Amino acid sequence: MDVVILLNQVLVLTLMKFLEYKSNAWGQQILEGVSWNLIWFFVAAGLVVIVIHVAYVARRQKLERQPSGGESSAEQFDE
Amino acid sequence: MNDAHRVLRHRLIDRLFHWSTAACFFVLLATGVLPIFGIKFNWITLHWVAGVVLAAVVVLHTVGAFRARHIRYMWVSPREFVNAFRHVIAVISGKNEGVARPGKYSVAQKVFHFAAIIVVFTAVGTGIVMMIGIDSPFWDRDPYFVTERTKGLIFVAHGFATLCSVTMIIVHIYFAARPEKRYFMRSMLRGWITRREYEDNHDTRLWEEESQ
Repeated sequence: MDVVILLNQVLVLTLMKFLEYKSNAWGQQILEGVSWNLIWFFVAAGLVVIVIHVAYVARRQKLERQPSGGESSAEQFDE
Repeated sequence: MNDAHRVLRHRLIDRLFHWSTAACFFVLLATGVLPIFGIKFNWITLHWVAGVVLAAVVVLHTVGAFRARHIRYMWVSPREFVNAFRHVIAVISGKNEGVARPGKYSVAQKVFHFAAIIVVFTAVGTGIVMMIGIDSPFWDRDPYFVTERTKGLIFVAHGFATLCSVTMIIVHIYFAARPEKRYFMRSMLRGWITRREYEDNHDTRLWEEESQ
């Protein structure tokens, strides 16, 4: 069920209007610029980078606290 | 702490560049984005003045970096990039592999700098074309300088550069605030890092000391 919700969210994001159009004096549709609704997507992207980095640093620190022993230490971590 | 225990990381001119760029970014974002969200004020003059200041500062920085041959510190080689990527993959897959200390800047800092170059050059380049459409001390406005279609594409590029800068500012402030990176923040304020920070975190063969 969660996968369905996630896919739905991806679809919504993919279909999100990211360009704005307006009509010129002759009634033609012309490109106006990016949709500023996208700003929340870019804010979220920054926050995602932060969360990924925090998780990465936590994992690296956990690895560094373990005694060095090449493969064996990695195996211990995986367990 | 005397000078013997300090290593110069950022010259005064580079610190001035960094903080004036930061000030320009905030003025440009505030004047560019706030009116879109309904906060109305006379933003256009402030916006283009900040843009012109940013363009001038970037030109001076670029010329200065080439003249002082500091490009070599910022250049990221494919091997360096691949090694850093391998290290990240090793950590994710649970292998405790040591990583070579970087020179003056880490691969992540270099990649961020390249992204900043693309964003700033796009914003400034498109901003100059957009400025031709408004009155300024440099010229009388010419709203027909480019076709409607080209103008639309220029606005899209300018907008995407703006949006990318939002992400980059968030990430940049996060890294500046991290405890283990605070010596970078100090060096951007006061110019120096301690000799111990220099020797513990950097490859001294790749980053030669400069005179203060």
